[in-house]
Amino acid sequence: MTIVELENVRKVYPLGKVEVEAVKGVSFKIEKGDFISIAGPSGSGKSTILNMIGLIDTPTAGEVYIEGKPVSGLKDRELTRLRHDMIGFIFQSFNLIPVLNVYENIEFPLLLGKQSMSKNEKKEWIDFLIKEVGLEQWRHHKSNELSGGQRQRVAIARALVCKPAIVLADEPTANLDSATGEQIIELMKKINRELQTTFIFSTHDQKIVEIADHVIRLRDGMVIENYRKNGEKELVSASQPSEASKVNKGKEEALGSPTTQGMGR
Amino acid sequence: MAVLLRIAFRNIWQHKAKSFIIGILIALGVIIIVIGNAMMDAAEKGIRKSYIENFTGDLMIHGPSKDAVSIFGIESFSLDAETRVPSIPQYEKIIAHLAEDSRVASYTSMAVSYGILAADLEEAENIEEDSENTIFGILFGIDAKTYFSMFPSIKIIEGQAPERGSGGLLLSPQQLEKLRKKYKKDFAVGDTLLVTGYSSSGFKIRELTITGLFERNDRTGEAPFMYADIDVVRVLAGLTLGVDERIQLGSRETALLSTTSEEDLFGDADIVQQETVQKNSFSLEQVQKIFKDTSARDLANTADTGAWNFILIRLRDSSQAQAVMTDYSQWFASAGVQANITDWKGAAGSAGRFADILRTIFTIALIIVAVVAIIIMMNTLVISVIERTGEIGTMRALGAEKGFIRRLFLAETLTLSLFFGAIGSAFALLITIILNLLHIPAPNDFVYVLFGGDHLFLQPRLSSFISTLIMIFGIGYLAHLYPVSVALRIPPVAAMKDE
Repeated sequence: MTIVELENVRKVYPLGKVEVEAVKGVSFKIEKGDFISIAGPSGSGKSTILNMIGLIDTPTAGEVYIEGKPVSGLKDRELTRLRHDMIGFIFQSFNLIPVLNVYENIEFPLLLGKQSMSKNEKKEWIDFLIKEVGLEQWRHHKSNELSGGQRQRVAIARALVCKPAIVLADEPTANLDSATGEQIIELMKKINRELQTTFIFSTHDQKIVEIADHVIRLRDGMVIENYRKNGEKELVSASQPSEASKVNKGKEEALGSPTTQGMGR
Repeated sequence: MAVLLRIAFRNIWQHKAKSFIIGILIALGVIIIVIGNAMMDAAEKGIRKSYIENFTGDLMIHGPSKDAVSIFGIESFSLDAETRVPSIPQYEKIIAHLAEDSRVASYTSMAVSYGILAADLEEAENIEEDSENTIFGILFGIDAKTYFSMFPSIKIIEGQAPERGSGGLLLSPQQLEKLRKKYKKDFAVGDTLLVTGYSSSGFKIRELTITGLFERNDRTGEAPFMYADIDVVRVLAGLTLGVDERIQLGSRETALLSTTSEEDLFGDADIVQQETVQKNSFSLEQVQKIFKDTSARDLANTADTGAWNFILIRLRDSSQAQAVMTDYSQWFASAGVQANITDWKGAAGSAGRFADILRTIFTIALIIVAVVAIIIMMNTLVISVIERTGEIGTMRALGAEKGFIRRLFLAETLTLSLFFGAIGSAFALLITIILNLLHIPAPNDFVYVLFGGDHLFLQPRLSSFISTLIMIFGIGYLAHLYPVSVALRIPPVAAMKDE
């Protein structure tokens, strides 16, 4: 089941008097339960695409679909609600609320929406998440008392607390050492398996890309690779045939829409 | 709500320096307002007490006038203002009503005029009003018996009060000293002076004998009040028998007065008759013949003994003044009495509004301080918002609606206002207690008025604390509007820039 779809999405930023096209007509689909890496060098458009999937930025052209529904016509309040109910965020700089402790930071998104859980259920669920990310001993500590890895664990638990269908992680390991980064990715993978939550993360670290089971590789605002790994790499689509042919070592099977039409730049 | 307050409290604590700056402003504001208001109250209380006990009583009844009337006369700078303070119509009827009113403790009647004192006739006839040496006096014509029993704080320290028809004058020692200095003569009780007065019926000069000296038991400043024989005051004030008589003009005079042509007015040979006057040939009979009948002039110089400008009233309970005033206004209307009633402030005129003027100045100063406080608070909060751009973006990304961000900043501002407002109130109370314990004396008459007595004694009202806190909340609310609008413009994507 397709949970996210981008259809010929473009994003242009004004930079003084010139316009910079950060994303140049990108199309792809993400299936429910995917553990997907959006990879590429700096400036390739990873974060911009992630922001548009996360409904915190809007495309200049094209359409983003969440669970098959277009989001372009939604008002700010509807976007906020959809974001709260459907999407969890893990930020590169952790973005914990400094005045709240571990428990309160994880609890925070729950307090923003309608209270669907009882007080006890809520507490049990947060305790479970704290245990899952291994921070039982740190529940009353504030973010400035935690290491980078611990902060990112809090961010992961916070991203999951509303039981979102999608968790977006923008370079979640960028501010961590490699060992901690791997632990974090393993933790995300574990949760992905256990809770069937779709994880979409951006990275430029090839080692982390290897852990993902679906990779979308970008360069200069275009998709240059889109493949799924089932033992062998399985090509989903590619923006340029020459690039795609380099990575297509297995059976080629186009599963998505003909994205090349939308990426002709 | 709990999470809002939790974040608000902790943010205040987290950003101590900024919170402290805003807090100091709030606390200072509260201290200034509470103590300032207490001082204004003291000044108003002092002025009120001084006027009620020395000049006006609780209420004053006066005659009909299109201009405001105080015990000092017509309170108007308008060119077409009346010059004569109206007398009270149906005086006896009002007095009878007052006598039956159990709420009235005492009352006295009074007339007012103005005069310039002179030692001899030549000076009296050549008054220079703007001369530095001119001794100006507000002459109160009183019923001495009821007046001095109603105002016991006014003491006769030498001689006696001027009786009706005595041509007497009661001065203060300061006024006597002024006379002594001006004329280099040792004026004393029993000496005579000339008073030049002016009213609607023209200039009048009267001789008055100093019958005594009085002293007021308050320090509202040296005032040019003096007490004179009521009949003399009536004549000087134009309260005379002939004053209300109407001259009936014929059709010819009316037609002449309605024209503006000089030729029409003076061209007629009938008006100015040519007479041959022979030098040194006037006899008394001839002079009398020229002046003919002087009865109208005599009447204009005869005091109307039933005429009074004011009735001053002391109540058993001063707090009932407003209710009594309302009752009397209604009674005047129903009984067809063309009189008016006013409270002590109206009776004291512009002098009684001194406290109001002080309070207005204080309020204007407060508004300026409040605007400055709002700007400083606003700037500090804007800096705080800019510093917290990532945090706000994160909250928005996590699903916080704009209303949440708005409430968060409102909670922070109002928590600050409440907390430091309470601290300011406590300090204001403490400062008040310390000032009262210091027993600071009033060094001069102006400060005496400000202090409302010999020593500074402040009694801040509970309502002052409450209204100040409400005002501080209002300032906080206004100060947070712009920073919040800045915060609400922060998009959720700002979370991604929090590095």
